Amino acid sequence: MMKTIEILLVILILFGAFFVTSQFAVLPSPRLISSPNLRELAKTMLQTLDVKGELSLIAFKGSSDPSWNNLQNALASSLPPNIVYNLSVYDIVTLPDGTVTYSLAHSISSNKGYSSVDSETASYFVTSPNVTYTITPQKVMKTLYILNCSDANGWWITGYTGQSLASDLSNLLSPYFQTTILVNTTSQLGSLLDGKQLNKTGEKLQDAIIINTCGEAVPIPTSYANMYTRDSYAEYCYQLGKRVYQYNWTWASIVGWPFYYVSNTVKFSGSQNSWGIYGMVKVDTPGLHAFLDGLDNQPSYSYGNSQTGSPGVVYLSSDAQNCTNYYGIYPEPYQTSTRALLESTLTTYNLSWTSKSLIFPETSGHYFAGGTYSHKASDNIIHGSFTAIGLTRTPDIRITALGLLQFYRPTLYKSEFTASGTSRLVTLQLGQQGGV
Amino acid sequence: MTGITIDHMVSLVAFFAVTLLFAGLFSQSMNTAITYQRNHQVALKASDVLNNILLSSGFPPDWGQNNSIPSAFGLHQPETGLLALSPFSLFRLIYPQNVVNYSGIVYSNISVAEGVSVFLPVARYVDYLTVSRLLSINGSYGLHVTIEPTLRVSIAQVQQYPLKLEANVTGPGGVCSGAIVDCYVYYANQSNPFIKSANTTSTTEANGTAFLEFPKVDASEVTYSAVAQVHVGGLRGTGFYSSPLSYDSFIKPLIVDYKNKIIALVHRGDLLGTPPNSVTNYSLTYVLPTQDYGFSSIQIENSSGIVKIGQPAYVHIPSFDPGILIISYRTTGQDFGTIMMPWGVSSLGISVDFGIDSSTSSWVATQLRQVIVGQISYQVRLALWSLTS
Repeated sequence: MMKTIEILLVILILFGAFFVTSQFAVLPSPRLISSPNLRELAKTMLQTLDVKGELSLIAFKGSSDPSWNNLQNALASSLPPNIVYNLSVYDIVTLPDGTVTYSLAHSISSNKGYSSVDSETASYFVTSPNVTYTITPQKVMKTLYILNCSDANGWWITGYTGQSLASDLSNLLSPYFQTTILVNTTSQLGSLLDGKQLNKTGEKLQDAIIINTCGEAVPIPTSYANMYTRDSYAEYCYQLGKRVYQYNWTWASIVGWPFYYVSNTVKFSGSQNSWGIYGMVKVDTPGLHAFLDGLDNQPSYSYGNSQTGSPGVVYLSSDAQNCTNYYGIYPEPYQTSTRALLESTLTTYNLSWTSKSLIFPETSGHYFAGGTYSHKASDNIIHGSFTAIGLTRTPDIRITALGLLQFYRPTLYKSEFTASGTSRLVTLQLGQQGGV
Repeated sequence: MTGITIDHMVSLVAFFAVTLLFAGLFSQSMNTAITYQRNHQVALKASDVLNNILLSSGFPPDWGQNNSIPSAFGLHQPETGLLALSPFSLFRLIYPQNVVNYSGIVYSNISVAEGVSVFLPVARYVDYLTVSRLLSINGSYGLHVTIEPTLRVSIAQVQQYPLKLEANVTGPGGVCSGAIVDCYVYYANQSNPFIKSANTTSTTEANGTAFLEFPKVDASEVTYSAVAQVHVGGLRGTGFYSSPLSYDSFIKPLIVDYKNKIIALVHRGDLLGTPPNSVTNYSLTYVLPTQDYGFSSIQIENSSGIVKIGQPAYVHIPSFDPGILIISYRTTGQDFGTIMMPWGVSSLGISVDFGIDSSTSSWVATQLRQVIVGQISYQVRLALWSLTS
């Protein structure tokens, strides 16, 4: 009998041990192990809904606005049937004493019994689309000259005049450069070529940027038209190249085949470019060759022809696309190029480029439809740069502006935004129905 | 004496019985705990693997846009901050099917629907073994990934003149009402492949259906392709429909040079080796989805021409933005049709199913995420299971 009582005691001890062990060995619920990561799903759901700013837009709408129904439809149709949701929008209010409070502005959910389900939540801040930010651009410490010569005509700028393009370019680019100067006559251009400044505040001739708004034509000062006449003024283009090299300028051509014509409405009043535009003389292909010879610091002018190519439709490089977003300049990403520079031309004249100086990437046929190319001599120091946009007419000067900003990359300083009532907190709570 | 012996025997039997019972109970608890622990680890691994796939672009980051085999695997679209996947990396995960040989290169015929196909070089396919090795799960875990559009848009013709289409929008949770459907029809006369376009907009009703009418298009006289974009509450989907061809498509679009984006329009006779071998006149346009939920058409080089046996035409796609190449043709044998070629998986909402079969596994962890592929909302569903336990 005693043995039986002892055994009963042993059984009791074993049972006690099992009971105590069971209390400590707590297993997670099966759902915790096997359920999808609802927090990640909620987070990615909110990001997806706001990818075009739609969620930000709806979050600030009144609770009776029909767009809430659209949001509910989107949630209901995109989440699996066994997942329930609750989306809440909270207004963020900063009290006078600096305390931040969150008050519920609106809420939508899949069912009323939602609160009884285990769930996970992701949160997401949205900003009112009506909010405007202050942006202060960094100034590039260089002088921007824009050729606005009243005594020169343009070609391949059909529908515009050089002057109207100069005005637009000035509006676009002047916030980014320390000084912007419009060069109003060919004689002023002559002064610059002679190394004389135009006596404007903050002007600096060395390292300047010069944009030629006359398209395939380039203004020629009368004095230079009298001196450099060889090969239909190709010799003048050589002199331009020499000045770009000498003063480390960046010369920008906005469209077409650069230096194909020279223009001075006084000097060439009786000449036309063979297409009926007076005040212009056709230099033809030697113009670009002569300019590049000058930029390459060749000791003397020599005659030669230049070449361009026609790669057709080209697309903005990924870096240029980033710059469109950064600077808020949005030209059509697809352009047609019929006057692209050849890779062999660039290498012949020691012109180098990087992926960040190309507006359009190199094509499969080794053409460069647009970009800024820097001349590096044997000392590996930049002596002058050339921005050539080899697109077909009519020019979009936003491409030129984009190319120069891409090359110089001024930083934009955005103001910190702390105004009250313009941000809202959106939370998406997801729960899984069914099972334990 | 007998009583003591019986007492001993009863005690011994009871002791052994109870010991066995509690040993069983303890081992059951232990087994359950170990199984839970293993499953929990698989679930964590599933989340980890999915994050790796979605947040990394792999190496080289543009492996989807060239022919190289990646040395690190990831599907994230480079240079985007959001959870956006590369439509071209996904292209490389589509399992080869209906392979054909052309000029010594084997192509996979990815046929999405009648008249909607693209031929991809089989050599570009990144197989499961490579991916599992790059994810460091080869031999230890099984993987299956499904990447499909969040909104499914099916389009059907309900009336010939004026052309009337019915679009049905559904999601994983059911029908989608209140969605705005922007539909573009690219059509050509049956006698002349010059492509024209028309568009209209409608909203889905409570049953997820929207009707789209094109007053100037007579489907009995034209051949056409319809593409639609759908948006509701921030979600975006896409769908398509192509009118029936008079015969099998005479033009087959082959991606012959991925890196340089060159498409060869090859006569069917070159691939199949069977007649009819009629000379085929074609006209094409390249269509891109726009920010405002429409489509814009871009004229590209060789946008019209002739394709013959042994004489393909070559087309250069301008960029790696997902789009649709729409080709209308007419043969000298009076056959006609309009076909589409997706450039990137998202332009026509193609789903990608990648991995091995999980049906033999006793326990599978699943994960779900929302992502963007080329502006279109997609869902990624990953299943992962242990191969060792």
